[in-house]
Amino acid sequence: MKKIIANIRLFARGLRMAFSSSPLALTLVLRQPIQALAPFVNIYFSAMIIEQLTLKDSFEEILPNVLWAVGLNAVFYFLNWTFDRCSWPGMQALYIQEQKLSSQAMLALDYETLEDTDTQHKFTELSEHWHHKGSPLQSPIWDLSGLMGGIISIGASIYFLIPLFKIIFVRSGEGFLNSPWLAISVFIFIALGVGAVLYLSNKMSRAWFTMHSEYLKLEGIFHYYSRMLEKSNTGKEVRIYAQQELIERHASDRLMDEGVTLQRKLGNSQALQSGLLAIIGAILGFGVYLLIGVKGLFGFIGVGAIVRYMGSFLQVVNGLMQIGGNVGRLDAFIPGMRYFFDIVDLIPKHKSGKLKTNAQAELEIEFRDVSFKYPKQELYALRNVNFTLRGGEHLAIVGENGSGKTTFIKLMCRLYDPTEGEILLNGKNIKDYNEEEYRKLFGVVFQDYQLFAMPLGENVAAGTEIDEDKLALCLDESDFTPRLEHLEQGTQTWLYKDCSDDGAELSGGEAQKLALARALYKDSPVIVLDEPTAALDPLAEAAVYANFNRFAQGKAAIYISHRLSSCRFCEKVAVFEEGELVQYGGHEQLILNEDGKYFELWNAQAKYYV
Amino acid sequence: MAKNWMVSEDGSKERLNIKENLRFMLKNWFEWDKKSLWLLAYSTPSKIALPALTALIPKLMLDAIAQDWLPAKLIVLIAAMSVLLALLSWIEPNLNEKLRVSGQLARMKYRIMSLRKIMRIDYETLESPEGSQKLAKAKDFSFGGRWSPGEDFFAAVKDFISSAFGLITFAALLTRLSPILLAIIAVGCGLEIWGFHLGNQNMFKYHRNARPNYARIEYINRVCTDAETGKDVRLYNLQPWFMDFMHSVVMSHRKLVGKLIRQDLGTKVTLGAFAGMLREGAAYFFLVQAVLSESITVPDFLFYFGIVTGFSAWLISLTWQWSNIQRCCKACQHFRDYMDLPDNAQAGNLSVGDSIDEIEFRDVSFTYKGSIDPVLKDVSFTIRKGEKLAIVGENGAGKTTLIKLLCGFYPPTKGQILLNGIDIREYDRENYYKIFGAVFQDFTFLPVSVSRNVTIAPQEDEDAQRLEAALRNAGLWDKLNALPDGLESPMVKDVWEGAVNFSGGERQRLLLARALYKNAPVLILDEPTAALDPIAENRLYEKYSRFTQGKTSFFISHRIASTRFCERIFYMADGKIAEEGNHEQLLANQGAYYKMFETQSYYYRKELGTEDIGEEELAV
Repeated sequence: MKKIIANIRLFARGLRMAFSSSPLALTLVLRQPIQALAPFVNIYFSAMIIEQLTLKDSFEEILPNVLWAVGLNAVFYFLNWTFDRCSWPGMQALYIQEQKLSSQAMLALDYETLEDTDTQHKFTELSEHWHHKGSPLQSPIWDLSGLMGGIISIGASIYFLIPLFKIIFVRSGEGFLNSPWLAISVFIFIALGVGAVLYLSNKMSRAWFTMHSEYLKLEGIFHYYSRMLEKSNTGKEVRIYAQQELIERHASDRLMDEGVTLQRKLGNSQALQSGLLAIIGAILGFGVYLLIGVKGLFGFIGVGAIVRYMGSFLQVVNGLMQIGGNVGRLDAFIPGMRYFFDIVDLIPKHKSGKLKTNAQAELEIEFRDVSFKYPKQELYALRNVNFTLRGGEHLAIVGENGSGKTTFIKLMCRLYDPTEGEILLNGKNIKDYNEEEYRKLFGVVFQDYQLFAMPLGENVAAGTEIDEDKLALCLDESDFTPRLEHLEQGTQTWLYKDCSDDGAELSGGEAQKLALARALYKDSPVIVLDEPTAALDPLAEAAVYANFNRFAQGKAAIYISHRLSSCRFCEKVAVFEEGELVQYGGHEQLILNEDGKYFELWNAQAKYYV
Repeated sequence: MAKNWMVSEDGSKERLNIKENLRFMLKNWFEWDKKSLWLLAYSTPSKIALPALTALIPKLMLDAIAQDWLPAKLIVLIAAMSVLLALLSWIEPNLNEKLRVSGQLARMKYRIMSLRKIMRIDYETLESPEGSQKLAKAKDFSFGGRWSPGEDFFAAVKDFISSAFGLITFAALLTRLSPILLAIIAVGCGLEIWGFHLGNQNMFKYHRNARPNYARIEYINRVCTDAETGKDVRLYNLQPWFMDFMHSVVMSHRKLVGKLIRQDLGTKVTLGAFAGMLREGAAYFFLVQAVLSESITVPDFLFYFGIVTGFSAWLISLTWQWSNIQRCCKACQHFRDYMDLPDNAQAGNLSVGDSIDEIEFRDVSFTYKGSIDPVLKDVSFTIRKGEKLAIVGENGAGKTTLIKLLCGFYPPTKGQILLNGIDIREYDRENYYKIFGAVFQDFTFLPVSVSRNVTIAPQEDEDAQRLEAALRNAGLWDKLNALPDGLESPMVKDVWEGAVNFSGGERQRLLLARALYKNAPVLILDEPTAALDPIAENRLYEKYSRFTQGKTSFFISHRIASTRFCERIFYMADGKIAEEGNHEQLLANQGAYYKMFETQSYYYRKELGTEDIGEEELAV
């Protein structure tokens, strides 16, 4: 019972959110009574006209009814299509809003919560539901409307059918035909039919959804391969390594084999469901037609009434079919709404402090006994790190792959909070600062930096407000200008093809330069570069080195690189090994320790150049 | 439900050969699912009989009552009709589902055809703008979600045929009554169809204009979900920017929706309501008159009224399905245009011998299609069996393009590439690819296990020893075996939720292992150390001569240290081999190579003082 109430609440919340996001979608619901009632115009008026025709009325007497019928039909038609034409676009608008709402929720999360496997699992569940069963806010409306339409149809038909049963009670003395037992058994009959339809549909659409999901999983793999292969650069590997057979085996063979079987099963289950509905409809039909026919035969009801009852009964069957088609689905959409709201309701773990940073003040960042393990991991990624970075200081960080260099940066930027120990900015824990303010201190180019499929200038300026002069300067500093000259729309050019068909594709080196320009544009007191030259040739690399001192002038700078040459233009070098800060000092000083990690790293590379 | 929209009529005047495309699709239908063709023969009569019966039942009942039948006779009649009704309404959805499955099957087959094609199409065509355009167009045929023409065709044909027969049957019934009524109703339908047509055009415009909005909002949604991206979003405080962007999408979409509604209300709805009025008015008027003039009975009134409604439905459905079939043909044409693109197989048919003795570039120039500037200019060289070649040079000097030509991905614009003295175009392409083991700069892993990604063969064909050796040489063996599922761990997070997430360095090692496992006579490594730390890089160099034992190898790197292991070094600049020799020779030359080496080694020299790093010194 509790569960039902919770589901109703959830449903109500979903509807509220849907209609407030896209009020036009409401027209889909409004359309239902129109659509359900429209057939009754002809049912009612054709019955009247037939009545009149049997009574041999004149044309002039019949004409008003004809005009009423035609006029009302036109009104219903007009309303029906008006609502229909509004509802479809309304539902489309809802889809866009829905995407916006969930994106918005994710943007509000702190990084740690976003990256958390539980959160990511929720995303997977939501997007799977989205893909397999339909959108969490749209689909319930489709189906609720379908159900509503069916119920209104049946309701209206019963309203028209009531006189048929009334007669039974009012008149008496015709034996079995007029006994209330007949009426009651007809009612029971209809009720049983409705019950059977509900039960069967519910059960079958559940089975259908399960099978359908299974099929879509297969199709998902196939889909992944086709998307992957559309990117032309994968074509090289496919051909050189003759991957065709493996891919076909994994993607197509299973789809053809298991997929076809599943599809056939799905088809059979659908066919069975409609078949059963047809039988129930026919059995009901037999009973009701029989009642009408026999009543007519004995003269209890007139010709017009017969027509009206038969037409109405047809609408009972239509309504049943419509309910049958929708009833099980509503249940299937509940989880989707739950996933959706789970994400909308996520609460950031990080609490932002109130302290403001002071851009003018001399800055000092201190790691005090910091240890860190990633959520749900056993091993520490960083262990007992003690370290201080002062304003204006230039630091190189080196170490093998996986030694903790990037994790160190992530902690410093407060993407994660330390598991043990604390990080201080000018003597105060960084958790006490306002998060947004604190992050203004850092201009970072991560190894896996991301640019976005939006205009180039906005990418660099990190927003729509662009200082054109500063933008030009930063692009120049990062050496992107030569490519810019080849772009027809200059800084207005969209990047990549995701959002714009004539977007510009960038090479690895070019993208890296843009990411650097973005960091420069931010003009923050601490600049962090994580492997900024991996994709550059030696001359371009040398240019970055040479410029580094200029654009890091007066700022604290951290330079992470596998090219140890970088250690020569930074005053300090931090050497990480297995999560620990093992050496710290100037290059000249560290190189003297021949047992140290630094000596090993340095020589592994430098021996080729001397 | 109002989901039955279709997108068509894009107004472009492409010549469309309907007959050819129909034949193509019907032939495939026949080949793939012959049995389902028979369904057409069953479904047409049942589809026509159902509305006819629905119209007939009330008439029969009224007739029976008017003629004062015996109750028993009436019961039999009703029972018979109910059974017939149940039968017909059983058959119809049943056949529909069977046909839907056939359509699905066809769609799968078409998709598989296009997947096979994309893996075998001539690489140059695949990468060309023409190729990607044709691919994009062809996709609609079998990938277009709910309304993919490859699948829809089945239902469209079925409904077209039954509508045609239905129309004839119902028209015949109506002509008997009044040809004028028939004409008026046809005019009414014509108006409604015209409304549909206008509505479709509005819809098409809407779809074309709205597509970027969908792409953009879905893109932002992906970006917001992605954990990697999350770092930059938060550090650069990109949230307001994204919110602005989403807001602009919502606003732009709202405008489109408003326009669509205004247009639709203006055309389709008004025309439709008017057409409906005309039709129904005519039907009531004529039928009432007919009863009054006693040319039909009262029960006939009901029957004919049903027939009028049915006739309109058939006529509208017929034109609708015809435009649907045209849409399918058009999409099919695009699909076939794509399938007709040249294949690998259209290269030569020589097979490469056991030994790769010599590869020669003879005056090779190359210009990418659609570009004017040549990327390679008159490149000539010969490399013999077992030689180790290093290629260095600035970004954009043509190194990677040279490799692409060597692999046969592009034919030279001018000149020839010869393998053992024979132009590589003479060789069977797939056979030719076999001689290369390569690590490219851009790469993709398949959503299969780690070991499948290295061996690219089904498990039963895997050579366990060779796999171990390759992984050990790439420095991955221990790391992989420490994983819970070891070598069988799945890759690619998008497909498998628990997939292993490798770091950049590990990915590079995996690529190397794949190249080593292939054990091909020519090894190509394009920037294989960019993401490796100095120690791993050094280890790779030390092992390099062992990997390449007896093989011809090409090594491209920005780390000049690597070139020491190669007997020959090409320094490429501006599409040419500017300098050539071994490390010592090139240094002695004091040319561009020397300069580059000096630049990179500058910071590794002992005598460097920290304060004198100036731009002047590094200026090149």
